[in-house]
Amino acid sequence: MKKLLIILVILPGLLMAGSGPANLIAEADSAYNKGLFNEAAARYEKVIETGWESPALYYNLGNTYFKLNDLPSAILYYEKARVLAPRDKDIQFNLAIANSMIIDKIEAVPEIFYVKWWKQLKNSFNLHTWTIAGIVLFSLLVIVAGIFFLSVRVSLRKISFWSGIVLLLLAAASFSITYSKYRVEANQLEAIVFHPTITVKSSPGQAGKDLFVIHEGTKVYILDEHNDWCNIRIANGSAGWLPAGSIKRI
Amino acid sequence: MMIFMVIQWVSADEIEFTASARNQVSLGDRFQLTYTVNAKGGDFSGPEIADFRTLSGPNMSTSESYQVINGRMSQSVTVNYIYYLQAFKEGTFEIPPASVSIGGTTYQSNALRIEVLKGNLPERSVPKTPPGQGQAGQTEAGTSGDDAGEDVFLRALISKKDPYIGEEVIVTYKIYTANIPISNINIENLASFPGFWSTSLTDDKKQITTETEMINGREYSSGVLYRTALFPQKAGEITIQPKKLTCTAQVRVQGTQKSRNPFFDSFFDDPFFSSQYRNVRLEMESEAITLKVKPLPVDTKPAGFSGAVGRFSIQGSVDQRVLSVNDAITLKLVISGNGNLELINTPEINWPPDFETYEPKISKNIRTTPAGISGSRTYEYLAIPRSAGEFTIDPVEFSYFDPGTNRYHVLSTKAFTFTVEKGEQDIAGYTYGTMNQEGIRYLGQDIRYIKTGAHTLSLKNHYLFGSGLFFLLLALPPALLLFFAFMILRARKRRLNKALVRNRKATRVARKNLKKSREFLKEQKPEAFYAEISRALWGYLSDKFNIPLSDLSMESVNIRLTAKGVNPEIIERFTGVLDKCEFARFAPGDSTSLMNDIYNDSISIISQIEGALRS
Repeated sequence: MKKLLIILVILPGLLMAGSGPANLIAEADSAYNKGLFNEAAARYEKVIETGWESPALYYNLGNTYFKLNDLPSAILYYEKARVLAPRDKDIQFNLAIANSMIIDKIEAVPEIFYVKWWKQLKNSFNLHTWTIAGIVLFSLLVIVAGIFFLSVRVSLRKISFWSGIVLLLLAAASFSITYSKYRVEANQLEAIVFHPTITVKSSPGQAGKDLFVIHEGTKVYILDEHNDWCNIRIANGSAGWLPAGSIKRI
Repeated sequence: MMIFMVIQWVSADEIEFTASARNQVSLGDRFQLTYTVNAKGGDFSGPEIADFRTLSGPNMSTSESYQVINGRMSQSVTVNYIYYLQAFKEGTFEIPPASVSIGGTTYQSNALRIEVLKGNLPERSVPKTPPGQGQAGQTEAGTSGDDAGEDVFLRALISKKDPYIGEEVIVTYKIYTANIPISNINIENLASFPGFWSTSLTDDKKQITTETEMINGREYSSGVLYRTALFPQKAGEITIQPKKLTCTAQVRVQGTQKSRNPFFDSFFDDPFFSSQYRNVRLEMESEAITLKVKPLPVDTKPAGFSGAVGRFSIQGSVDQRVLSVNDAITLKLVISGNGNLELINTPEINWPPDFETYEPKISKNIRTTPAGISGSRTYEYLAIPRSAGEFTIDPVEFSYFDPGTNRYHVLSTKAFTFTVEKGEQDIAGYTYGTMNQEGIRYLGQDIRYIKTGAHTLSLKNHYLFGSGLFFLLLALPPALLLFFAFMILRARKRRLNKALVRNRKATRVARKNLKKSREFLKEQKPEAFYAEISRALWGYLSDKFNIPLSDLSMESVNIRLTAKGVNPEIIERFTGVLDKCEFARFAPGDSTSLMNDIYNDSISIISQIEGALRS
């Protein structure tokens, strides 16, 4: 485990200094600058293929695909970038522009204020931050519990009791957020439609009844999978089945 | 009906000797018999011509042409021996072969059969222009034909057979007459050239100037009727349709000549009229010319290419370097040169966004000369700055294709820099509340730029949540807590035990100390007595209430005991004894009774505290 930590912390630094991804990224950046978008896209993709990721990398690749008029790919990479850096203004801006250019205009279902707040809170930090927040809050909770049980003074015990309850709630909240984010990200439950036009069916398989039509660039949430078909839900709450090949997972 | 002499160039070792003439003539017609050989220096011996009247001949004409194909130069020579014959009897006649000897070898030509028909052939209006003429260009070397048989004919000459789109091609219509006066020349559809943009290069008011030209040994006077510059508008083959010319010719009727018209013949054959002229209406057509128009090269085409083909230069200037807000500034561009000046698109100027701009004023100064079109086009762009500042207008680029070098050229003016100063009304117009504030004008929308600089890359699909490290980090704080709790509790227990022991022993120790002090009392040693009493009391307090000795003083004892919940009355008595003790230590005089008092007080106070704690 410690080895992994060392790899996580040190290896990127080493690689940035050497050749490999850093050079490829620099080449891709300059190709983008010159307007050679195909070349830039190929280089960024190569870095991702070698197993690395960063919000800036996904963002730059999204920009490159945007310039190549490949909107679904641009949106896919902007979404990937946003998963890693949810508060980055540039990513939000470009994703909004790309989303304004796709065919489908889907009105999101209105939500009750506390659900909206919860989601906003959830999407203000990335999974890693939430995981660390949970660990820190839990550690604080343990410390406060220790103070409560070991302290002799009544006032100290009172303070530690109430702060312990607050910390317990906070830690529980951050663990639940962490888990729900982890489930979506690790299982790649969000996806972008890549087929120019695709009909959503009522059951997996072509025999299903046609429900509605969506177009490339639309974001879907995957509820279930069955025989290369995905049960998806779009932002307005409509759900149905799509062939798995027509979407790409974020 | 017509015989065209075909010119071929052949290698020098292959000698061809051919005879050609029309194979049908009508009675009385004059026609041309041509022997062609493709080598010089031959010794020509003509045939015996008995069935035709020989008007003149043989006349020799030589033409040479050089060609360089794939770096190999070849030369072709054509020598013509021409007879002018007239048919004077009907029937079919044979002209025997002629022979020419070149370098000791004798070559024979073919024999010709010519049919002489009675009656008129239709008026020969179609000029005999060889098929190669249109392409041959204005240099007529290498062209020949039996035009010499014609008195009047029209020719179209072009300056270039394979121009680029938009390249200037000059077409000249020339009339040739063999000393026959003509008048009332009229060409139909003269200025119509479908597929081309055309500009006339001839001055209508000018008289046609004639010059003398020799064609195939015959003297002609030629005059340019019309000259036009054509600019092809599309690639591919474009045909310039033949132009039809009608004119009136004054034909001189010669006595010896047999007219074609028997009616006129009998009239004009009269010796009285023998050297008369008569007006004949002639109709003729020029050759159709097909141009192979090449498209402009695409791969090297500059970005802002506007279709200019030719050779150009550009100049630009602004009329003011310093001006005030709301004053007009004019940017002048002059494009001058040769080529399709009139077809150039108006160049775009990138004015700064705060400028009010207007459509440019375009004026032209174009000269048409026989050599083509040249001149200049002037664009005047007017703009009015609405805010002050230093402004720079990007250089204006102008690109054109030079067909001479087959390359695109990009010209550029210099950048235009000027200063706009705040106008007077701006300064005077500062009244609060009436300022003309403007919202920011957005000129376009684009995605934001990529993120440059060092990326902090991380491994893909690696999650801290659920990993071993995650659970380790979670388990660590409780483990530490348990450890610390154990340590703290153990230390606390130990300390508690120690205090208990001291508490239990406190009375005993105090009594022991008091006993000692009693002995000092008996021995009448007041100093030692007071020290012992003091120690006994302080030590008792310290042990009983688990307060370190160092924390106890006359000032703090009160607070300490109150905190421990001791009755204030007892505290007062206790401190009273301590005070007395301190006081008596340093007071001289009768001390025995005082020492006794203090001793008794001490014993009673300890018993009292003991009693209070127990209840």
